[in-house]
Amino acid sequence: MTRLTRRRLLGNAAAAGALAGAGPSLAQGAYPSRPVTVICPWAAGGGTDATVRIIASLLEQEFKQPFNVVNRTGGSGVVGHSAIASAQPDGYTLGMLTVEIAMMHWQGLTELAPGSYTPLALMNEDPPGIQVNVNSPYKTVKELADAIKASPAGKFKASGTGQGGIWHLALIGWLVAMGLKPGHVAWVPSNGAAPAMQDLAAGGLDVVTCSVPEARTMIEAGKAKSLAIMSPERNPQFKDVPTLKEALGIDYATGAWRGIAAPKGLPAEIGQKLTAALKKVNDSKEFREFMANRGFGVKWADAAGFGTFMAGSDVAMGKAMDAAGLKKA
Amino acid sequence: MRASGEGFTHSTLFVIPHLPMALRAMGPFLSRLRERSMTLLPADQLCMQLPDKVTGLFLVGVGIAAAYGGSLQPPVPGQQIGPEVFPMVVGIGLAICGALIALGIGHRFEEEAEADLAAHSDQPAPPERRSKAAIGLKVLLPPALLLFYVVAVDRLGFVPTGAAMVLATALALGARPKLAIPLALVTPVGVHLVFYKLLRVPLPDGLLPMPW
Amino acid sequence: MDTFYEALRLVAQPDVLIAILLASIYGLVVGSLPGLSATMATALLVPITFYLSPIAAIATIIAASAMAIFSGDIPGCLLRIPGTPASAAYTDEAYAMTRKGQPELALGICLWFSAIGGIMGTVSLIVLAPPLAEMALQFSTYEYFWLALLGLMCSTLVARSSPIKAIASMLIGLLIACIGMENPAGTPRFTFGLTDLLGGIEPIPALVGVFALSEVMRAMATAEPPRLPSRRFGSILKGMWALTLRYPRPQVRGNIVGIIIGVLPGAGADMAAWVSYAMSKRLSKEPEKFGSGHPEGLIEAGASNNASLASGWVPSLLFGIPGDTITAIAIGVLFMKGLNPGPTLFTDKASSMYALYIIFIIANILMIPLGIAMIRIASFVLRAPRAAIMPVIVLLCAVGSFATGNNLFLVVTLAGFGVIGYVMERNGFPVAALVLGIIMGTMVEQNFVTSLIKSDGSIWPFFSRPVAAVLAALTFAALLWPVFVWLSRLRWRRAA
Repeated sequence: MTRLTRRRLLGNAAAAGALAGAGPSLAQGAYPSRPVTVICPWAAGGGTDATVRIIASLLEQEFKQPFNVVNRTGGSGVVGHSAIASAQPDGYTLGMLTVEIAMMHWQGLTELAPGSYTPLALMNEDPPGIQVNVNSPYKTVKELADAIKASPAGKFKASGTGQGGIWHLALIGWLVAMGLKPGHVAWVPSNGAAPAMQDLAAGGLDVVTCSVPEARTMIEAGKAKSLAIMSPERNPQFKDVPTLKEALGIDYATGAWRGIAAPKGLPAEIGQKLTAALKKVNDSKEFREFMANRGFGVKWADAAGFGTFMAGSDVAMGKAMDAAGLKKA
Repeated sequence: MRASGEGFTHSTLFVIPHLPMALRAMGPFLSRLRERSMTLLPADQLCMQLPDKVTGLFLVGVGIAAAYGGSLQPPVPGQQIGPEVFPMVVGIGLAICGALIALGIGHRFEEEAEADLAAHSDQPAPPERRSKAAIGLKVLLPPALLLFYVVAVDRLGFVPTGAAMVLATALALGARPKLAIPLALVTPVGVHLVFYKLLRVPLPDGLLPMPW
Repeated sequence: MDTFYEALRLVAQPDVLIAILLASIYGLVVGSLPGLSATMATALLVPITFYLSPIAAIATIIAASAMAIFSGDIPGCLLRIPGTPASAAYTDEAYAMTRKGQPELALGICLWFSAIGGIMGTVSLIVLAPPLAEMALQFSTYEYFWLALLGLMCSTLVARSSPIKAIASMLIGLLIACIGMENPAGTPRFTFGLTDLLGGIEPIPALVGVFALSEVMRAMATAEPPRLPSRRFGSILKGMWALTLRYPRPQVRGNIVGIIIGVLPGAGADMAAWVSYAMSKRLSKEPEKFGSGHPEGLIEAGASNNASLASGWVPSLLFGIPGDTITAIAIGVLFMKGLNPGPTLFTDKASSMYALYIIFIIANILMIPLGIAMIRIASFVLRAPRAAIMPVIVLLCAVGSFATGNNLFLVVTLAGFGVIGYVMERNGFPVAALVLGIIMGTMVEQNFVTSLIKSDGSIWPFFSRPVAAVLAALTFAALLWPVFVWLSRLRWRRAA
């Protein structure tokens, strides 16, 4: 409640500023008649930043107006996500939502949830892979799964991100789907996927469950291999890696996703315009090439579809966090 | 450096954006400093220089508070080592260091360092012109101006806020208006041009949007 | 050889050459402005690289970061405000030289040995990339824990004042690093319910606060220091060759230490400068001269931080693992431009790799003329009245801190750390140790906790792995050094 109050006031302050600065331009012409700000809740140079920048530059071509990317970092993503939610819903501030928006509120870090936005389009989803050291005795995910089941709890060590991060939840989901306890494989918190992959190569870990693009360089360097992918389909970049369903018959899939959204209360016609433009971006050769180049998975859902998708993700994350004991009452 | 958040509740904290949050977070700290600078100081010293006993005991307090605050951290399910270990280790270490400082151990090194420094140290301001309290307030001017920036920049815009900051700092340092006013007019505009235009930092326009 | 010519052709494109030149000037300016760091210089370039060709994009990052690390030394020398954390270790030394009337010498050393260090680092990147990368991959969390601790100990070795106060400052830094949820447990700690503290205290505004802002606060309380005799700067490179010949060992050591630390992911130029300066002081024949404007430590540390910058690219290029914050950003740009890091970059895109090496060399050579120009321009701050410089610094601090995350809370952080830095400085607590604590805190805790989780609570692996054992021994030596010095002085005094 208290945070809400603050947010509303922030929003009002921003609104007052926007009205003072942009009063006349609201009246003139069709949307967009002036530059649009796209908020990225993560730092410059990362995967989300790259994705949001390619989308913004393609939207710029589409609308012939500048789409400026602004990195609003801090608060482990909370600050940027609140900046999107509290902006004026006039279509001149958009932002990229990441999977964390479906996770943070369960931990009581923010009151923002997927429902706090006007969804516009889902653009990307990256499923986690199950990576092991190249010298690991387990050649297939079946062998690994059997060894995990046969071992005492805590013997296997896995990593990929911090405690309660998306890849930790992916591991828990996989373990629960195999009928094991969430803590059966010990989670070693790491500062992101890259250090985890390094420790995997250094022999300090048994398994890393991070997304395939994050593991890609180490796999190509011959230091690690991917045994399975937690998604419904194989990744066209890594055709040889089977899905969990194919290899183990387990119907479990998850992933980190990114999509574009606006503050709640965006006028419907602006929303439709943006969704239509984002569809063009999603289909464009440039976007597809860029995503393929980085190994990112392209995904599409329109405004309504993105809303449903986020709601589903929200429930799934809530369950996994509950299993991990991370959920605040 | 408070180690626990009692003393103000969330609801009072978030009533008005930015300013009270900032000030309240800083408030106890600043006022404590101000009190000290006015009461505890020997007359011939610059403000905020405290005896080792005071700083040492303060660190003991911070260390214990941090260790206690750390020990309150909830354990993480499924992990043996939770978030409490590191603050406790560091807090206890800090408390020990604080005690050693309060006892004056290692002070001799400082005397030697001071002798070294004498060759290129600052000259204290002539004491007769200004009272200690005035110096204390002046020292706090730069951080106070930054808090003013936080509060004002979204409403006034970058250029007017920046101009006010530059003007205040220049005048406080004894610049003549002939220098301070042109400086206050030119600097924010130049900084805005470089950061807003070339580096795309979103500085707010406020009342005075720039033509670029 | 064909790939080499191809690489030369790639670099010789007008857009690449212009990009190098402009990015160099940009890096020099940003690095030299108090309040703006090399990491920020790189981060602010990302949106611009988006519009450049792949080689030009990488060239801007390389050139800007190399220049910024050098030019961070300039405000350190002239105003006692280090421009980047990598300069913080030896700022007092350089400033002491300026007060002694030798600013050209101090800046000349920084420039000349930075360029040499950068070139040595590049050579290591060219010749030794695969073995160095293999070495880096042998480092598990146990080794990193000791390495981080060793880095922290250096702050006490470097301190001129009481080692106990230095340790206390460092511990305060570690406590500050506890704030937020970037800890192994992922739970919010010491955030007092503030959303803005969830991500922890950003090191850059904290650094700017304790160094730059507190310097402005000091200016408020002190009279203007006696103006240095107004004169034109003499030759900046004069005597450099003599110094190169006179101090061969510190240089080689600085380069080697810089290269090794740079290669290790997570430990960047900042730590390289600290370790090198501490080493230089301990191994010097004249340690008593350190801190009073002595060239030896500057040579070693200045070479070291630029060497680490180049070798930091080794793990980034081979495995996509960033060596420091700058290469973390660079990896993003590499991906964006289709130059995906990995061993295939060295085989399939060998010409691009050679182009990258050539750019490194060009940037480090270009650093000398541009650096001299920059030093000459910057020297006006020694003649300008303080009342004109300080207001500009306050404004730059505000904008620089804000720009690290486009978040006004960062300006509040800056103000808070200005006060903390001022109070600490006045009471003999070295603020540089505080900054080191903040930078290294997460690394120490992360590696300590994850090591214990991996070993099921046993501390044996901290000592049983060979590299870990060596690092542990070094750490204990560094830890016990102040005690040893103190005891021996005590005895010496009694005798006297």
